[in-house]
Amino acid sequence: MASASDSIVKTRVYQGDPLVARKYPSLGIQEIELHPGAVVFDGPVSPRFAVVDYDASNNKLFPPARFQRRQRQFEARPNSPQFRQVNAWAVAQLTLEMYEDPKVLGRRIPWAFPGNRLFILPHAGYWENALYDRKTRTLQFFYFQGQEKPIYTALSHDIISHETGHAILDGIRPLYNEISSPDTAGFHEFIGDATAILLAFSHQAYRKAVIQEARGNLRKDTIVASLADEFGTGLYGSAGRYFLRNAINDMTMSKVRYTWESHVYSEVLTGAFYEILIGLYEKQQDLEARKARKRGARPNRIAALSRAVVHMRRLALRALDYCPPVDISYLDYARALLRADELAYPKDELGYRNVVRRVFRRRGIAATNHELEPEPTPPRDAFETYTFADVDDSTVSAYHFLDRHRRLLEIPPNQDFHVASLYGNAKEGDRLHQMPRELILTYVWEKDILLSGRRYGPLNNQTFPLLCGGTLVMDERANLLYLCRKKDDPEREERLRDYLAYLARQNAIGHVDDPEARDKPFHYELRRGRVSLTQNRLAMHQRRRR
Amino acid sequence: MPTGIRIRAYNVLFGDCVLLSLPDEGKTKHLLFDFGNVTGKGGANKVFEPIARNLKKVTGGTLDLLVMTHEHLDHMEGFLAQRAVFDTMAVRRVWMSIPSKPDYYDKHPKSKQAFALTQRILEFTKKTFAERGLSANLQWNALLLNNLSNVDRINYVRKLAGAKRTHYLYRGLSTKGKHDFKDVRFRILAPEEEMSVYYGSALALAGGMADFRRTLGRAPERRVVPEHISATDFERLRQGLQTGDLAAVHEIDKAKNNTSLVVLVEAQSKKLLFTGDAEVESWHKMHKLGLLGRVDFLKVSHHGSWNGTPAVNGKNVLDILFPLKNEQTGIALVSTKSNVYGTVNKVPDEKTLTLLKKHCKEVYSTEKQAAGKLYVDIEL
Repeated sequence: MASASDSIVKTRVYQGDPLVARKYPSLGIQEIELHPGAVVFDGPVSPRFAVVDYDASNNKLFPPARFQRRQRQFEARPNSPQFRQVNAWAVAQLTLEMYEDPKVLGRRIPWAFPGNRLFILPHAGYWENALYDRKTRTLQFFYFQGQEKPIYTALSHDIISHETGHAILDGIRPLYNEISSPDTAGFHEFIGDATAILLAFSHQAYRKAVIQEARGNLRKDTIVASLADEFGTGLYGSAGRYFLRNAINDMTMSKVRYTWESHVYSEVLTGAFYEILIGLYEKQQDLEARKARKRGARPNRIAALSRAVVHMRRLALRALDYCPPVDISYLDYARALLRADELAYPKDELGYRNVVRRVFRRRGIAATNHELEPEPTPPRDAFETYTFADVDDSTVSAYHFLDRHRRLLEIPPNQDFHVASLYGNAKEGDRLHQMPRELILTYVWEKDILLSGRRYGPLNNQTFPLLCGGTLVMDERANLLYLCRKKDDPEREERLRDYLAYLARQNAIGHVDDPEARDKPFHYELRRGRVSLTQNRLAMHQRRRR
Repeated sequence: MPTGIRIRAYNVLFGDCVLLSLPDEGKTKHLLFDFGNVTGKGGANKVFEPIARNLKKVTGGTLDLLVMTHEHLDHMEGFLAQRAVFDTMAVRRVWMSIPSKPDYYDKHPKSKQAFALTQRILEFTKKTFAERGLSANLQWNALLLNNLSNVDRINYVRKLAGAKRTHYLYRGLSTKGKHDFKDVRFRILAPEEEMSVYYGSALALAGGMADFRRTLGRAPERRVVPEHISATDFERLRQGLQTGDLAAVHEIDKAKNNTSLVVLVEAQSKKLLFTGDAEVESWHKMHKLGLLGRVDFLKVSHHGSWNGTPAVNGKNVLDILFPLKNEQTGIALVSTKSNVYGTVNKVPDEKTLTLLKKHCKEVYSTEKQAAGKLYVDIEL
């Protein structure tokens, strides 16, 4: 969000990963400007983040980086623990700023826990891992011995932004934490990867390096496509192919149909994302070439990439506010992305949306363009007379609005539900004009289903909730702009049952407190007598042991 | 009636060094069990020299058998430190525990994984020491430096008797042809050949998901509180954190105690049990296999800590080794030094010492009977 100049903090961070910086010195330590808010002090501590440099395995607390109030910067010598504190904090802050920017979501993003400071642990312990953990409200960056030297994940721009991406998505859609399909399992990973790619590309030096490396052809394997190089190199002696999947891939839904492995599954969407980015860049390149021909000059590829990245950022991230509150599918995301873009840029002069549609079709996320159309919204006159204020006032007002229109929204009359979130935004549209304020309302309910049969493995005879609900977007004139619903229908229930049976067959589920299940990709626990299935974040980015 | 068996327990501070001298084929032969101590307040290398000189003198420069029970510094530091003496001695045979075999990890992939992890962490610690940015707390430093960087020391012991006369033993392996005694019988009660059986949850922990306090079995020694966040926030955070691979290494290191060679020596109708640092898991295994029975002498395991003399199947191992009768005849030796290890579980453990006194005729302790002296002798 735009902030007063007195809230600016200047700091030096790695713009790329340290290893990448060896090859491209311009991606080394550079000064950046941050807008964390007025209240910043030693730690770093700022309104949304607090660095607590505590290593639990050693019971060791590192002294915090000191904030120099007058200069509004932190004291941190390179190669010191304080530098890693500031680096992790700054990249996390930058990631949050990217999301909250008026060109993207145009609103403050809450965390998924009660509280406003996400703790950052830059030296969380010796482990080949980095993670976001809602329970402890932390981003934890571990350190380990690489092949040549110690690796600090707190220095990796890509790892920090990836993990912060998890935290931000968790704040936007907390119920995506509840795993109910391979799509929900893969979506968090996708957002982590997309965040890392977008933040890396937001740096001019990075764009320049990529254009030089790829000689203008982004379909080539470039530095950005293999994220978190240092992490991977530390482990394997070559660019990382495990931790973050190569964004240049040819994965389609049909290729992952019988796997449902969440890392592989996320590759489809990450691949589509990167392919769309390339498509936008190529459109901009054509435009640039045409302009250059007129001027008799050489086309400016970096400017073309810059514009493509800005558009990609709003395309990919704005869509999140239009996504359903629960059980997201890749198709839901594709629809949200197209609709959010259509509302912000009705004209689409360069034909971006055709690029998007083509990629989603090619990846098998949608079979036809028609499938990518949003679900029809009931006409205005189908609703009882209401005003924006009738809904906007509070979550209770929003509930009454929904309650009055249960039949229209297909909420079962006997089913209690709750408003999961209600927020407005102030986004910028094309040419910096202010878009009409939007109101985004999400609502949720659960339907209990009994899992009965050996095919459910450890979940046999347990009650599992089928999460239902919807997202409703309206403008200031109370026009319904978008509606996305997750209904209580037998088809969804059947898909959920099949997926849970698949996970049980793969021996992928363990109880959260079972020591034997520490490495299982999914953990379950009982909450109010119902199963809550979540991804095991501790194991998610951990190096696979050979 | 004297048997001619003498046990000389050297005062190495916190460590083990026990010389067993016994009659065989009409002359006195000598077996040495371990020689080492820990660094810091539990030991100093200066204690080794007079002991090494005494060892040479009393054995006439010949050790018939040298047993290195396991690869911890407090059981082996003295050999390399006193190489000037050992190089001039004849060591006829060396026994080491099976994991010390040079190709052990190639043939035991489960253990290799843990070994590789400890090596990586060791490497990291060395480098971060150099950097001075990150270093482990004292406990970890001691753990890593005292116990894991032992390659040179192990190699030295491996060479003392030559490769053909160095034997790597485990439970069930016959000692025939591996010693030069005629009137003495040896039985190896532990360790198991596959050391990963002792890891317990350590390999799962190597994923780093160990609860800090459960793994280390204690609360942090020193409460640290940052100033820039509230004490409540910090305490809640600290309690929820996981620890990563160091916890796994701690577990793996504990497992190393369980790789101690446990040797039952039978001579002159007496049974003498030398246990190294065998801990709970090893005792459980020995009990389960029916290997434990009454003995006349016990080198108390693990410097008198509670886990070196644990309960198995509801009764303390001392009930098996020294069953309570009208007259207690057994003798126990504790090689230890107080106030070196343990804040919650102190070493030596008072309850264990009390129990030993109840079960034995005599309990010797290097820090009591050898206080201010080089050694204490025990005649059987």
